[in-house]
Amino acid sequence: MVNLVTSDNESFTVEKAVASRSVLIKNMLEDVGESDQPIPLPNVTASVLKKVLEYCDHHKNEPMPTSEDLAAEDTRKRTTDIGEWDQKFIQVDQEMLFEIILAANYLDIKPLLDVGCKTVANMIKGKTPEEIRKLFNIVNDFTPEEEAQIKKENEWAEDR
Amino acid sequence: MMVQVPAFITARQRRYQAAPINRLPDEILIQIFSSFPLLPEDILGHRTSYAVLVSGICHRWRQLATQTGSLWSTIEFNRHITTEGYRLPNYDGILDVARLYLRRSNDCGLRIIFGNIRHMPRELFTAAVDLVLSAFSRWEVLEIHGLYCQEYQIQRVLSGFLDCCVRNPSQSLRLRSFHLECVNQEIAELETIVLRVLAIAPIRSLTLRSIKPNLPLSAVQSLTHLSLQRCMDTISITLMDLDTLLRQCTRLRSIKFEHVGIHDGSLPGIMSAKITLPHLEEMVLVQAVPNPIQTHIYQNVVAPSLQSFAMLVAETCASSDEAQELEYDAMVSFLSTTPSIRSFRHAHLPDPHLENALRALPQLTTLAFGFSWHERRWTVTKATYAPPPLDVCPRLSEYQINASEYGLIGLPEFIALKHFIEARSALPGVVPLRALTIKCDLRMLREDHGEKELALRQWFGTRVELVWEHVEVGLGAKKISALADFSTKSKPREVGAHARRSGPEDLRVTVVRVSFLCAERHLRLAPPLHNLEDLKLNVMVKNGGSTID
Repeated sequence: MVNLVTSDNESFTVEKAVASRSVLIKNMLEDVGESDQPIPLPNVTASVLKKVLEYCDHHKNEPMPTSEDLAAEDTRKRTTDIGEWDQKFIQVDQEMLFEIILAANYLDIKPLLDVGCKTVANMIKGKTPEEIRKLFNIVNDFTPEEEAQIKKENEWAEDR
Repeated sequence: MMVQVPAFITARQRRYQAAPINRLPDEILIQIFSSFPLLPEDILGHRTSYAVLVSGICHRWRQLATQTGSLWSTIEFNRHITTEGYRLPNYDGILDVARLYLRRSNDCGLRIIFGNIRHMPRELFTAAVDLVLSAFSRWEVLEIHGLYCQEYQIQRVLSGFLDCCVRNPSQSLRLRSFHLECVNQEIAELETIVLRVLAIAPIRSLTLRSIKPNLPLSAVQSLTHLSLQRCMDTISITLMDLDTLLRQCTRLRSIKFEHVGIHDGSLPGIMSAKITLPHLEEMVLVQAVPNPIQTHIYQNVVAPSLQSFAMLVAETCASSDEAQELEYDAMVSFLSTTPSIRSFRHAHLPDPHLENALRALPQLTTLAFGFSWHERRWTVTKATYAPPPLDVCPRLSEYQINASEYGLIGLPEFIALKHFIEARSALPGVVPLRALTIKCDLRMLREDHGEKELALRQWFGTRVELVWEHVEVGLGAKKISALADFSTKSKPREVGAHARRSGPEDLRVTVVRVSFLCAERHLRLAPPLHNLEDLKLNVMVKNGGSTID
């Protein structure tokens, strides 16, 4: 078992197979060898780690993606399809969604990062710029010159 | 000395903090921008505009998007299709946008697509080709959809590419994927040009339609993906050609033969040695009638890594047809000796043979029925749908039905499917279905409600909840009403919004999610989808007492 300590000082004891879905933790475990020392995760809060560990637990028996797999995903057919379980797992509010993405990035869990990014891409898909800004609370901060250039580019793209 | 930070920058940074998405670091935002799909049907309608879309949201997104070359690497010349039919392009804009993409793509490999350009003025076409040829060494993917091109246009693109290669012999080439569709069956000059392209570029993925596949050995040996389509009549191949080709393609990971004809079914001698394709993961065979190609593959190919197998028949022949019987028997034998197969797709496979095939695949996890839209282009008759036998493939967890062809799946088929799901869920020793996907025509749901439809609606309505996704603005009120009625209580929701209501404990079905895939946006994408309305039902299934979710 592995003991993980979050930024808000909560401890999680999990199976090694679950914790090792994180390449960061897997490498740390390999470096320190057999040890009871808790592993501090200063960039992850307890609520987010709980969610991340839920994902790791569900996928613990799957083979770890190799760099070849990731390259193949990139060069062959890329889709925004997300598995059924993952879709339900990632149905969280925006705040949690982005926290999960950040945690997946920090902990180096590429499949989870991929699910998070695809989810955000799916949220953007099919929306107008104004709808996207509203969805994510983004302010349109373009200068008048940028605005004019964007208008021109949109006209080109629309008219083709 | 303190550096004075301009007031507008700090204000901008403050505003960014208010948007949780802008707390993501640059590399993750770029990954999100790059996560848009690259499927053919998406590229034709959307891909090129994603980069423009995300670069028009805010200053930070624009900075990131315009500096990410890969977002701008697909340069497409096409005449788009809208709900009103073909849209006449603004020809001035075509070159402007191509220049923009070329400039912003930096040093990235390019995907060059020539789609529907038949009516492009000659001067503009020449300027467009010259523009992309200026970066010929960066071409990674070249797609020429010759159904919508004139012969001179195909030749101009390929000759121009070859000329550039000859004039710049020191330039290393990146062209790895080549997709060429032709219409004319015999164009000797074009065949010569194609052979030269194959000889000069490091092609790994090759799709040829209506081009005789006389492929040079050097090119064939490196291929990882090969697709031959519509090689019929005067450009059909011999069985010897096929045998030789397969024996040379030892690196293949996927192979697709779609309506490839044979004009000499004999082999010069006994082929004692099997054809081993150790890396082959995907095989798709689409045919109009029984064909020695399939039988030869089944009897001679050994594919220990094959995971996905599709066998689609365009027309049902008489079941007594000897050639067909022989072929299907050979297929079952091939399947039973390829235990690596996890996914099986079929259409028009006569019942006893389908059952035999499924019984030969006890390890199967995904079963699919039906043609994709581009495969359906060439089918002559409609497929007929029936659920598979109950007790086959105990590990089956995903079932897909592609019935977007109107009339293919109606109420009787839905009812049969309902019975299949119910009976299968009660069967001991089988893995419960985790996902069911149905693509069907919404017009069926608009018909007057009869008794059977009512029963079906009640079955779904009391046990599952429809959750709407991708309901497009502009969707007709009648269609929404029909769908809402079908789902009894559900109303359209925002994209991504999900709600669920558990069904009775004795049933495993808990959620049906409806994705309205088509609507206005999809109508712009692919000609065969014009006027078609797709409905996707995903049924999540509860496993015994504990739900999967």
